[in-house]
Amino acid sequence: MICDKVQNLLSPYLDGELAPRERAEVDAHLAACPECAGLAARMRAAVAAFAAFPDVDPSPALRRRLLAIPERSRRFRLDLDFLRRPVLQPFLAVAAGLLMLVSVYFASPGSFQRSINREFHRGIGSIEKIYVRAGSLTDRIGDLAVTAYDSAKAVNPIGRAENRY
Amino acid sequence: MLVDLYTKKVFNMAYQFTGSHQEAEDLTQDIFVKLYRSLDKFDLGKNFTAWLLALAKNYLIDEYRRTKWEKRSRDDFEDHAPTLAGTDDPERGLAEEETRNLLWSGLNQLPAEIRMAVILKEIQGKTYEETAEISGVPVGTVKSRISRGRLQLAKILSQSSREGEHDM
Repeated sequence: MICDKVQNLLSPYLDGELAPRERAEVDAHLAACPECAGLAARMRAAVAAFAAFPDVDPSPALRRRLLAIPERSRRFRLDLDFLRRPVLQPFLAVAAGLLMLVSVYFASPGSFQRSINREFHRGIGSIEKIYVRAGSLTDRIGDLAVTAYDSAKAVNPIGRAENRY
Repeated sequence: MLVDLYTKKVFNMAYQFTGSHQEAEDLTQDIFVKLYRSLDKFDLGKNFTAWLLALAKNYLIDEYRRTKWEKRSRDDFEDHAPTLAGTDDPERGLAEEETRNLLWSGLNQLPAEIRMAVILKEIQGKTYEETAEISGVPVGTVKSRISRGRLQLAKILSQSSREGEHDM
């Protein structure tokens, strides 16, 4: 048996939980391998030492602190009982919704502001485009007016009539 | 009544887990606050001690993960432990004391779940079944954790022994 496999079996070996054949194989390996035998001896020493660890006494002050807890806990609960009144439920639901919105804002203030800036600049861009289109439209209207005026002037039936007579 | 019956159990569990007397007292207080708030959830048909220790174990491991105690040093073993009965052989007594100190500090090197299993099974003397009930895992998982914990601690003792031989 290789050392890794034996070392993984040492704990059940110490607990006496191995099948007889497996136990015999571990015994044979430990007899031939000083390193694994040393580990087994130290594991046995660790188990024995832990079993002799004494209980430690807490301080008397801790007992006093613990005895004071139920009273404090009860007082804390009474203080919050009014929150359970049904009439407050709709207000608490609205408050929870608002808190969620605020928390979303504070969780990502950068992206929120960036999205506002983006929308603002997009709006400004749209207004500029409309303004430019309106400008070109007035130009076209102006051109159209000049053309119409020139055409009218060229045709000018009144002027021709005046010239004829 | 709860305080008289269970303070020492919960405190020792917290002390062995954290290695700090002060920390263990604060955590014991937190665990009792949690206990009073959870009493109405206790199923009367179940074992109260196991339920309380499971509550304490969960709280300790949650706090351990939140605050990372393993980076802190443990109190010296002798700081709070009552004096143990010595052996007639002073050399053997010294070796036992060194083993105790190495194991006590070695607990900090074990992952939280393995450390808790070792504390319940080896120090508090619970059976595998009781340890599994408190830990909320199958008995096989507890055996595996104990095996890994024992092996790691045995290796710590071996390494210290080798270093001791080198120093001589």
